[in-house]
Amino acid sequence: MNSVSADLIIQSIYETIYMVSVSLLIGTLIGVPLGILLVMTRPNGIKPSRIFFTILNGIINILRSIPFIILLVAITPLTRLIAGQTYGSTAAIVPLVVYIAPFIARLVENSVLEVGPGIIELAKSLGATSFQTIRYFLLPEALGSLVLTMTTATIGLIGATAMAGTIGGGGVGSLAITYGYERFNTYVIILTVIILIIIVQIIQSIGNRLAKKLRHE
Amino acid sequence: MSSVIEFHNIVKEFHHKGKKMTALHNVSLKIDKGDIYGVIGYSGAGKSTLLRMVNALETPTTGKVIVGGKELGTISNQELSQVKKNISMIFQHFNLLESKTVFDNVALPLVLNKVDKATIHKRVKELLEFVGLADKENSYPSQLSGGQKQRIGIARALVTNPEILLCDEATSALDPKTTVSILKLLKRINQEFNITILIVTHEMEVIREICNKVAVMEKGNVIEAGDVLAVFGNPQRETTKEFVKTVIHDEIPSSVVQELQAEKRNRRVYQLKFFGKTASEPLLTKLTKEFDVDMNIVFANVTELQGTTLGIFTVAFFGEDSVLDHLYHYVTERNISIKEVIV
Repeated sequence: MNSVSADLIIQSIYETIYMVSVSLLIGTLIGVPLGILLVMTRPNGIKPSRIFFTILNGIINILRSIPFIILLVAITPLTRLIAGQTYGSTAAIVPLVVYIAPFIARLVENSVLEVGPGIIELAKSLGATSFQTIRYFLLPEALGSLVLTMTTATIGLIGATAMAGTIGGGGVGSLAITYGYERFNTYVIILTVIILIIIVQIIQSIGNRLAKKLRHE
Repeated sequence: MSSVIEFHNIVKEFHHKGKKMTALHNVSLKIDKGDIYGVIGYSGAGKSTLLRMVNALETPTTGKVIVGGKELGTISNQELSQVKKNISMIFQHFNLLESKTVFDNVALPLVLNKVDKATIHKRVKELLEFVGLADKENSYPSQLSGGQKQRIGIARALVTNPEILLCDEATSALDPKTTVSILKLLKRINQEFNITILIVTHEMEVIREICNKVAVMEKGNVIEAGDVLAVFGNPQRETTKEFVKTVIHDEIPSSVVQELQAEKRNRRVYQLKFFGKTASEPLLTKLTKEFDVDMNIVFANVTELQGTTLGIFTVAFFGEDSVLDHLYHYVTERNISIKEVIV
């Protein structure tokens, strides 16, 4: 009945963590600045630019509309260009980044927009530059919310990695599909779901605790 | 005294969804050094828009804003930021950073100006001491009461040694007792540091407690302006009268009115206003001695304003019309405000 080895499970967990952490890191490096740019350039923002905002907003909406499984296949040429191959965990990181960066940008935008207009008014009254407004006012005030944002993004990524299995990305989700679903092995499905629940729980509670600490409420 | 803030024929128009809305129509005001200048009006009167022009958060559509001798629309950005360094602002909702400690909140303006750490430390401590919250430096704003938050807002405003302090409804979110303590603090700031204060409010109490000058605004216009005593003592416009009524009562109680109406003797009811010294002169005694009349005080109120008193007495005089005419002239000749009240 038990047709998967402990090694295979550990290998899968490792692959999931690898794909999630690398794509989260790169996705954050791209998504956070884009989110801040969305806030700055929006109408009534601190540096409004209709053209820039419309284009960036449009691109993000388009990328966010594509189902991940389609995106995975559609950007194969890009994946080959960047990763040198179209198969395996490393190759899966390219579509994962394309998937998560716009998501993070949108979440960051929402978090920063939550900072009240009073804080922006304060920054203006103190003569803060655009950079100072972001660095000393908006980011610190949005930090608690940003941590929750990143938690949501991370959990979304874990879900997406399951589909990366279709291009041989590996990971816990792919283990569930290939060994559990396709071989009608309920035991493996339940086991992987339990592993995923534990991972998600850990990430969510770390996120909640950190956010609570940062919010000083 | 020289003016530190001048508004010349300020017009401000906003465009919203293709519709033009005029927030300010041709407003002119002068605020002198050392003034605590109050601008009062109902919400939507345009007072906050006017205030925010002083530190260029708003720019006029037409007209001139002159701060410290510099016309804001015409100077370079560098000069403008120099002018703005002399202006601080406090807000209705305090606008403290929830993520930073009290110390870091107060230090913020200095951090933006790249002041060195030792100076920041010294200056922040001084200011926290001044506002009476030295023990709260490591607290977060969410742990403070409204009054404490505004004190931190004030410490933050003063940390850069400004010459002008703008108060945007600074006490409107506070309870009456806290309001009084914040107003006292503002008065101390004005006296100890000689900081000119421009305060926007809808609460007449603020004007009564600390302002020496007042401008009343209505629908984007200044309808009355001048010394608080003059404007309060003799309000001309309906809106001004409404505001004055909220702090100085001058209406005869209805039970007294009924009694007066039942009175058969010939009588007239006069409202007399005394300013300052005239309040201590025994005018009423003189009147009864000089003229053969009976009198009855039906309403009286004495209010302290700017260290002087404003007394309002509503008195019913009983006597012949000719005698009462004489009495009326006698009082007007002594430069005391008198007007007949129809009961």
